[in-house]
Amino acid sequence: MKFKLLSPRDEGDFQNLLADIRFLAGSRVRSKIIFALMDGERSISDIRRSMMAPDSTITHSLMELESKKLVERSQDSCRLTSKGKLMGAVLSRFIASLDAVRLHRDFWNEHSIGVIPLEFLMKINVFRDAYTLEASPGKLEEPYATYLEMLDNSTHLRAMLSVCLPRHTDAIGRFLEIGGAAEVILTPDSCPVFLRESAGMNLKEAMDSGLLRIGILEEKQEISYIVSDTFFAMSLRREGGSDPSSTRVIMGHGDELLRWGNELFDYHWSLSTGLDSEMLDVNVDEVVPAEE
Amino acid sequence: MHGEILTDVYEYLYDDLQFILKSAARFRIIASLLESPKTFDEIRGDVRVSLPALYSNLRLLMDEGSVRLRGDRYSLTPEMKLMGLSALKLFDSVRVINGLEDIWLDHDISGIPQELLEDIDWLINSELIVASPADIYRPHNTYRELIRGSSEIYGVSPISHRDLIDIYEGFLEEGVPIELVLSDGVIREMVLNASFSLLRTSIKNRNLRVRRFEGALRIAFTVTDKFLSLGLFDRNGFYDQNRDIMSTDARAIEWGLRLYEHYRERSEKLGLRNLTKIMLSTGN
Repeated sequence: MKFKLLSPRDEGDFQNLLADIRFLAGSRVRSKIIFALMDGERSISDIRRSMMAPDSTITHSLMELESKKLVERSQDSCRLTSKGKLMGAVLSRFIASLDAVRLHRDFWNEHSIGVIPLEFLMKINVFRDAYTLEASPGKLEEPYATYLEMLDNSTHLRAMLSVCLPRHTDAIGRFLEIGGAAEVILTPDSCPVFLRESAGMNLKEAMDSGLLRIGILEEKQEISYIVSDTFFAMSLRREGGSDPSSTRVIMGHGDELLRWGNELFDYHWSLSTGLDSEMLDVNVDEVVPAEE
Repeated sequence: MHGEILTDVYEYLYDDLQFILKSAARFRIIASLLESPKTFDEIRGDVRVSLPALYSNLRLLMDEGSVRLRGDRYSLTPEMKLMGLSALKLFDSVRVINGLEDIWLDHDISGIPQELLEDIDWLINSELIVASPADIYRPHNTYRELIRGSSEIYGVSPISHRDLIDIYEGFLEEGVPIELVLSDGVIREMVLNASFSLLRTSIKNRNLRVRRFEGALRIAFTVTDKFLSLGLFDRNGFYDQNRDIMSTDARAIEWGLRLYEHYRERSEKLGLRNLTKIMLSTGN
């Protein structure tokens, strides 16, 4: 995805845009009027009552919003114009995104987010209702125990595993046993471990029955995540070094976050090569592309 | 988010908002570093602000923990990278709102769901095609031009146009798959005006899939693998055929496909039997 970055030639355009954004976002009263009207038409007296500002300030702000064609008034009521609705929508999206960044600022700052494609980072607002779980020395298994428990209520599991530990294969094995369907993306690091650790599982049968699909990425990844029908959980490489056992996991259950996780999985799946069940009989080294 | 919650979150984030948006120079530095880590001279080449302004804003960004210096390269912290991307999205959104203002101002946008209004920046490479006294068919002719060569067509329409039916008939004869979400009135018009044998064959061959939208459609659009065309109703409830947003940009097409999916999910498939029923009921 390409940015349309602001070149010096766009100076006039940039200053106008910034002025328009500041006109709303920079004014408490004006932005609050827009937010109040996003739920529908309201009487001016109602707006006055809900604002902690002098009447004259509100009247003046309404006139300014009207002159910018964001609000229209008729007698004692006012409503957003279509342009006002759009400005409200994009401003609320911006605020939701900043909120999602602020709420999890430690998680984002401690991890390498460069592995997530830009178009996904631009939808960071989906993490507003997420929470983080940390595998601290005293409770190493907590994040994993939490989402393994959640898997009991799921019927579909999609996992991107850049690191594979025995507990991952155990969980997927159990999930398949209870009739769940799983899609797994593996990397040069995780694939040999996954195939070795799943020796007790009848992978071929699961794949032939369509309950298990495996895709393999040629390059190493620094992101692992699971998305099921009920939750999304993601871990990233810590900035400045990797220690899988101490990773913090960000997880959530909102529809938007689940859609985000599924789209991210679709993206990684589209880059992967599907593993044929016939390949399982072949030596692991032949399945996993050799690194340069 | 509802208005009251938005107000609370806005208040909570007020300082962050002002920090990002208050200084044009600061925003330019952030936008430059969104591309990649850069040296001082590279940033200077990008943002073209005075040296003192560059020094002081970089220093401030570092003091605030938004920019790091590693070796001779400055980079954004993940937190500021995410905020910067969100701000850039806001800029692009406002650019679209201003650029296509003629259609937003006096038109009904209630047919566009909230999540797509929030992603209005996806229309950044779109154009408003407006009819003029010298060229009253400009939107229509541009539509005909851009739809040419499409290999799959999706449309939502509360309006019927004889010429549109001709265009679609041409595609069906070539075996191009078409899926349409239509209101009852348009379905009736279609079965009355189109070649029924072509409709029957196309539906049987699954080349034409017609879906019925119960209720009022407040938007008309076509999205194909080649382009997006979007028209709105004016505030008096009349469809404005003099203005169309059109784009051949991949992001705008993706936006259009998401919009189509929204309507597809809210419509029901109409088979040949039901179409025949509608045609017969019209004849009575």
